[in-house]
Amino acid sequence: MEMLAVKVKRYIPEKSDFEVQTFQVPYEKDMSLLMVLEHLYEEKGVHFRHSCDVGLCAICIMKVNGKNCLACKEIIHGADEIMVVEPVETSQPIRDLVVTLEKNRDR
Amino acid sequence: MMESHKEIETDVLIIGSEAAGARAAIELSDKNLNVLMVTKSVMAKSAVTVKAVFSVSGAFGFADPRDNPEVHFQDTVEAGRYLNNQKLAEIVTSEGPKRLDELGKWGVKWDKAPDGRYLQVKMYGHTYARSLSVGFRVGLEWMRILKKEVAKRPRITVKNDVFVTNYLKSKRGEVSGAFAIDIRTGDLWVIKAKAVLDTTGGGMYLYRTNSGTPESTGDGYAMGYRAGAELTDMEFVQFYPIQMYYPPTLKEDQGTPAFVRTFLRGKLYNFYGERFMRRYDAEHMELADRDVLARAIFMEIKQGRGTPHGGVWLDASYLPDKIIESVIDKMAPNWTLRGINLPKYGIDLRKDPLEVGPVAHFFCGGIRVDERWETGIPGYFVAGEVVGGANGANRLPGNALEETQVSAVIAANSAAEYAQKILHTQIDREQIDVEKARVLRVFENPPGGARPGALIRELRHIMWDNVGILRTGKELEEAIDKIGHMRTEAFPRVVIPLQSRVFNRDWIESLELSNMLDVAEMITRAASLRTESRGCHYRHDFPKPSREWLKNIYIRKEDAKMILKPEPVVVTKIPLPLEEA
Repeated sequence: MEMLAVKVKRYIPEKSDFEVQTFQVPYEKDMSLLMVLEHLYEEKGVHFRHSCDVGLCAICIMKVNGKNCLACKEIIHGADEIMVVEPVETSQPIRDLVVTLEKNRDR
Repeated sequence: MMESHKEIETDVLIIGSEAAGARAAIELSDKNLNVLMVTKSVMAKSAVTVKAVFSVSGAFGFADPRDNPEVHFQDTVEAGRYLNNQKLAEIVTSEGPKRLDELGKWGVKWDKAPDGRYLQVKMYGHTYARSLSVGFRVGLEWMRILKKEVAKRPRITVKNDVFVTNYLKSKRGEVSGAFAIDIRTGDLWVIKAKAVLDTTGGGMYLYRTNSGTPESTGDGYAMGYRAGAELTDMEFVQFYPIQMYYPPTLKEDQGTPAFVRTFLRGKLYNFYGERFMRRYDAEHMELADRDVLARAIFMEIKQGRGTPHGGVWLDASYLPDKIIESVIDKMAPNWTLRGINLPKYGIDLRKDPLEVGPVAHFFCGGIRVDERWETGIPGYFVAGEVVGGANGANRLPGNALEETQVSAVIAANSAAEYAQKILHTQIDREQIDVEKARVLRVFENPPGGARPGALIRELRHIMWDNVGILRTGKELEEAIDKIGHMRTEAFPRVVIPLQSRVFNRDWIESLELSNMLDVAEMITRAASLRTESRGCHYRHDFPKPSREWLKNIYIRKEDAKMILKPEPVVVTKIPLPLEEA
């Protein structure tokens, strides 16, 4: 089976710091980043947010290869694709890829 | 030592922050009440409202002067196969237009007809064109505006990532608050409130394939049930016939298949290339009624004639390229349908069939209310999809969004009136320790059990396979056993790998699973009791409606047991049919 290498920048609240880890995920044709993350949650406990899964709610916003994008609409074209996934920097990190998603005011 | 908790006080606690919750918060604030509105996800960035792309019913009569709320009410009861609580259906259809106008005044940019009035489109099951929209993003537009209105009101506090686990009552039995978990910190909260208004929505996520979101775990049904409320019509789960099953980045899209089926006259094929609709509805084929389509597709898949990703093919490639191109040029310039650029996802309608299938779409049933949206338990009010009654055995397109606004305003007014009479409320403290022990128990479980997510997946398969589009007594009985077994054997032994309480998804899922088990049992028992087919409930072993079953099934908890009781339908103007077709 082809494996996809994914580098994830995780926020560890217990250490109040980030950790970069590399994971191997079984590659499926046309898989979405959301599928990769669901796999990583099940296997490695990587936390992330998702909801509508059709590109409307934007809760799955994250940084992929340096650019903000929605995990549900991100296609992975091949196992050789380079993937670096990070939490967005516009709000406070909570755990792994999960951030508050609130800009200024107290929630 | 007992766990500590944080105490928070407010006039009215609203659970859920989307169409119904946000509208209710505005109404309560305008009645000078302080509101705490909590959501287990993030307001306007999650849950089903923002996923609503098209259509809100409103009998304005702009497109056709013959239309009015009375006709809309009749359509609603006809669609609900006469099981609607007619009092509720009448209120929703008659007050809807006022609420939609109000949203327009706040800034919702309704699609307009050339004469400047709202553009009204005819949708399935409606006698006249009465559906409004805002492009193909009506839910997003609503939440953009409702969020703005909420932010203008300092009496409303919104807290994201707060999961309410149970209601808390006074010694006299009024609901006087709720127990909650602050998901971000793992802190436990006791929220004291004069009134609680639940707008947590439906339970579509109980089904393997659905058009809802992971938040739709039916928490409101389960909490209401545990608090002693009655539920109604839980057997009526509406399925939508065609949604994308593949590729993953287009999964759950309903727009593309709807376009291909209606505008390109797409044909449905099973794995063997057979145009199977011939066997189910030779007259209408792919344009058969929604329910007929959903059942036919489900049957093909169930009997092993499904495509690689568990659906069927929907294909328009038999049309000459030129015809497809001209339709696309007119209706989806640059091959972009409702914001989705098909070539980007590798789809060429000139040669590629779509892989599609049915999905769980809406819960017609829910908490029983009277015409003031009161539940019968003092201090406890509900609005939106969590409520049952207005839709009966099936729901018209567009009626759900309309109902969120009408019910939110009425429930908020009832809650306001009630809260204003309460000087102070006292939670019976004994419940707090019991609830703390319940929510924290999973951290103590020894290793060896399944993770909650794995059991949720299993439960969603059981519901899809046995309590789905085509039901039989035997399969429903099997499901009752499986659900019961999961509840007594697997659920008490669930393990969560992470010991920290900070944003611990497994922990929250373990509590959602407990709610889902309650809801799954309600649906299955009601579906098993109803030995007929009606609306969106289809029994293969009882394929016809029965006059004997012109009744609603009510569910409540009595001495820790689930009691189901059929009762006569609430009728105002529309007499029940003497015979069933």
